[in-house]
Amino acid sequence: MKKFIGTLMLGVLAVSFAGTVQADEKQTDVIYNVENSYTLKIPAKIDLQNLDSPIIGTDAHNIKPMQVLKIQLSSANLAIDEQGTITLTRQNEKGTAKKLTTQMFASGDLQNPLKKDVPFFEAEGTSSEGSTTGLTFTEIEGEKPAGTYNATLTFTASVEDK
Amino acid sequence: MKKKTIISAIVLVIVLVCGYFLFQHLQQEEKLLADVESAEEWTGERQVSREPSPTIEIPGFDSIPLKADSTQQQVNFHNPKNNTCYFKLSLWRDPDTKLWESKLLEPGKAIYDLTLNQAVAAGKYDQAMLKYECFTLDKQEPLNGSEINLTLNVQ
Repeated sequence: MKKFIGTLMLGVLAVSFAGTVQADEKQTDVIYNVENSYTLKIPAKIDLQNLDSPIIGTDAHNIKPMQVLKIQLSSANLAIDEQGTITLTRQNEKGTAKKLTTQMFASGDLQNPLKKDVPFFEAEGTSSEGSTTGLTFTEIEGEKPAGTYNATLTFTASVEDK
Repeated sequence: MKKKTIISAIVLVIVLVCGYFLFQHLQQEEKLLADVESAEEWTGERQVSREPSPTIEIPGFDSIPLKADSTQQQVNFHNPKNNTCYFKLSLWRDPDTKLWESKLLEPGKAIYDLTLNQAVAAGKYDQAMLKYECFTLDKQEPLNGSEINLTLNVQ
């Protein structure tokens, strides 16, 4: 009987010890979170006369899986209408401003002019060299009174879920 | 005999003078021909060689953390040193609420501390935006700019 009680006590101790060990085995998550980061590369100005075709994209980017960086023309661009026509205005204008118009295209797609709020460039994954695309413009036609014509453009970037 | 010698001398002089003038004439003709460019046929205006289009580097953010109910904030805004333009940054809680605007920021310079126009309550603001306006270094004329859509994490 004594032997039985001793064995029982040992059994109880073993079970309680095992329970204690199990209670101590809490799971610990080791987390290392790297936020999305990128450096945009935009044309400083667009000189249709004297400069090479401008480029736009990223200088580098590090985007999480299942997400994508998108670039588009901002809705705040006053020089662009809904059809994507860009109006260049002659500088130092007095009185009625002289204006010229053009349209902008990306990635060699000459069918669809870039419009406001419509993404035209995407980047995903990680790249230390970034990725870019070229911008092209329709030839300015018609009478061109002498002077410098320009328009300031604003590009919007955002990271979105795929 | 003497007469013959004189005539020969005169003929020789005439030949020499004529030869000299002929040589001069030919040389002049050769010189004139050398001045004419061997050019192409005019087929209309061609594009002259162009300079590379300058670019601006703009740091992008997916989210920015802010302290709740405080106007004093710590951030990491900078103008990359490769740029050749000023930045003017502004932080927007939503398209209608500007929280802060910088003065002109030179290339290679950063803003780590700023004071907001108003404190922001705790929460996530996913209509936020960091706006970059760019200006030339010499005349401070406007250049192309950018808007970075982001989330403000206010805690």
